[in-house]
This record gives sequence, C-alpha cells and structure tokens, in this order.
Amino acid sequence: MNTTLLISLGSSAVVFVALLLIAIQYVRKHRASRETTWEALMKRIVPIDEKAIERVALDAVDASGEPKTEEHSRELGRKDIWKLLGGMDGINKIDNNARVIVEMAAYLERWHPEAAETAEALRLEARRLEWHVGRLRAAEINKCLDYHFHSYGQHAALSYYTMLKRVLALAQQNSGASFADLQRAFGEPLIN
Amino acid sequence: MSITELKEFLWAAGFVGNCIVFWTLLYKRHIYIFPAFSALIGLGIVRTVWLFCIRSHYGDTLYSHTYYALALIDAAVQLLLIYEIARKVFRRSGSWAVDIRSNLIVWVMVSIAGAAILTYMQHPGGDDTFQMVSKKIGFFSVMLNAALFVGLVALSFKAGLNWRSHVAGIATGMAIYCFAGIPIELAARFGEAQAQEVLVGRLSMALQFIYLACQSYWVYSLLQPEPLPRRMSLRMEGQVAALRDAVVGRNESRSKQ
Repeated sequence: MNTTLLISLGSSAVVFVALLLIAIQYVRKHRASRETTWEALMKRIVPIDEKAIERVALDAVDASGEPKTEEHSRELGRKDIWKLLGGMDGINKIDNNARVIVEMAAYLERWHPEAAETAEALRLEARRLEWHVGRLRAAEINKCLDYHFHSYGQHAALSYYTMLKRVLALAQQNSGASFADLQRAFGEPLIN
Repeated sequence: MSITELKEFLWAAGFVGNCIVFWTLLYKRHIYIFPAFSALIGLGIVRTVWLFCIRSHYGDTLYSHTYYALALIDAAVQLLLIYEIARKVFRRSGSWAVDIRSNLIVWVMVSIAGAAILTYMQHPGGDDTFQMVSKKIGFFSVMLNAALFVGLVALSFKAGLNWRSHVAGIATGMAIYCFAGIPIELAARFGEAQAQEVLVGRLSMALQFIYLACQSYWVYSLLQPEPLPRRMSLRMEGQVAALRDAVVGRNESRSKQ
C-alpha cells in the first residue's frame, strides 16, 4: 500500500481514537455527576487540618485582612508552610474539596435554579482554588515545587480558609442543624 | 432490494426524517432557541428538494457540482451549530464564563490546526478539483466538529457547567454523526485508493443509516420536557445559604480592595 496513504490514514485514526476515548471518559463523568445527590457530595468533602490552614492563611494577610505585600513581613518560611499544609498531600485534599464544591455548584444550578447565583459564585471561588493548585502541580512536574510551594500553597490555603471562615462564622450565628453538617464535613470551627 | 433502491430509500427516509425534526422544532417552539440547528435541518430539506429537481431536469455534472457546493454550506452551518451549543453551555447569563474563556480559545485553535493538518494529509479521489476540495472540506468538518465537541464536554465538566437536556440531545446526535463520519471517511479514502467503488458506496449508505438514527434521537429528545426543578429541603436550604454567604461575602470584600 502507498506509504503516504498509510501515514495519513494512520495519523487520522490515532487522533480519532484519542478523541473518542476522551469523549467517552467525560460523557461518563457528566452522567455520574448528573446522577449524584447532595448528600453524596457532602460525604466526599475531606476534613482538613483547619488549624494549620488558618496559620498559613493568616501569615499572608495583616490584621485588617489585607494581603501582606512585603515578603519579609511574613513569619512562616518555606519549610514551615510545606509542613503545615502537609506538602502535596495536603494540597491534594484542598483540591479534592474544591472539585466537590464545583460539583455542588453544578448540582445547585441543575436542580435548583433559584440558587443559580450562589452556584455561580461557588463555582468561581472553587475554580480560583483550583488555579492555585494547578500551578503547584505544574511546579511539581517541572521539579521547582520548593521554589513555588510557599507562594501558591499559601494562596490556596488563604482562599480555602476565607471561604470556610465565613461558612463557619455564619454557622455560629445561626447555630442551625444544617450548618452542623457543613462543620462536620469541612472540619471543626475555626473561630472560637 | 437492490443497491439503487436502497439508495433511493435512504434518500427519501433522510428527507422525511429532516421534515419530522423540523416539524418538532416548530411544534415545540425550539426554532428560536436553536436557530443554527434549525438552519441545518432546514438546509437538509431544501438540499434534497433542490438536488431532486436538478437530477430530474439537468445532467449529472450540474448535480455533482451542486451536491458538493451544498455540502460546503452544510459544513459551515455545522460549525455555527457548535458555536450555538458552546453559547448555551458557557454563556448562560449573557457573558462567557470567565474561567474557561482562555482554555476554550486555545482548544478551538488547536482543533482547527489539528483538523487542518490531518485534512492536508488526505488525498481523496474525485472527478475534478472541485470534488476533491469538497471532500477535503467534508473531512475537515467532521474532524473539527468531533474535536470541538470533546473540548466542550471536557471544559464544561471541569468548570462544573451543566448541559440542558435539549442542548445535550442535539450535541449528542451531532457528535455521534461526526464520530461515525471519521472512520467512514478514512475507510472511503482507503476504498478509493484500492479502487473499491462498492465499498465506498456501502460506507456512504452506512453513514446515511447513522444519520437516520440521529434524526430519531433528535425527535425523541426534543419532544421530552426539560427536567423539573426540585424542591430544597430545609436542611439543604441552610447549607446553601451558608455557602452563598461564604463566597458572595468574599467576592464583595475583594471588589472593595
């Protein structure tokens, strides 16, 4: 058979198979996401060592909550941040929770149109978190994690902490039974 | 049934199928919601009637040229349909979702480049240059549509964006047709190289059968109502309120900075 024909058909066939496999994978994921329940999503949230997250997050902001701009004003060093966040394992937990929050947003948008605004805000917040985690993963692949971990890791921790702080502060004010579910899912209250 | 009769049957069935899909779009008032899809189906109807008239009154050359010219328009409308689907998924509240915009643009560029390279490598047979170019554009269209569909599905999952059931129904039918079209196109190139006209003819009929199946699926999915919203339990309402305060409150404080 003509070599040119073989190459053209072979390369197209490889691309076709690759596209088909990716399509099947994501269609399955979409279907699984559509069939999930709110309770199942809540169960997928992994509790995180909130004291450590709090310490790392508060090291990045000043007393008024504004981000610290001078590097030297931060107390925690690279190794401290790595240790407190639990390295990439800790980041993976944060990433897992961000992914669950994205799915929670999709669930709300799908079944409860009245909560569409909340869903979009939730989705964007979780996507910000995912962005920082994505940069950390890229740094890991490029073998420069030591150099970037404290920066992206701290941003991820701050993002996660701020979100949880507000959730749990509201939980304290309302002391509703439903907020207890959130507390249990994400971890113990950060505010004493 | 002879091959010629089977071809005539598929032609007629495809025409009737397009008419039923178009009637469903009109009956369910989806025609304004999905203008590109409606145009694609409408074009299919007009094309069949037009080609039938040309075949009855004029020669094969004009028929062939008209057939391939209309196939080009069909490929362009298919791209408009992909854009329409992307708008429905990623542009809910009047603006494109900010977090996927750059990824979407990159994927569109990669898809166009990939489909163009693979099409450039193809050397379809044909009576003249016009026919060869038309076949190449047909291949480019199915390859590009399949790649764009994969991008839309993957990006929407990563971003947590849902597909409404009617959009999903139209996109699924379109994706099945494109994905089936690629191996059939490749097999046709092989058949042309080996001078196996019977194989090429059968593959063309196979694609028409797949299109009939897609038409049935479109009619079924477009007749189904969108799933009704569910009622939130009190407990869930509380959880949602907590999450809303968490994220909206933070966004407000950010905007003040």
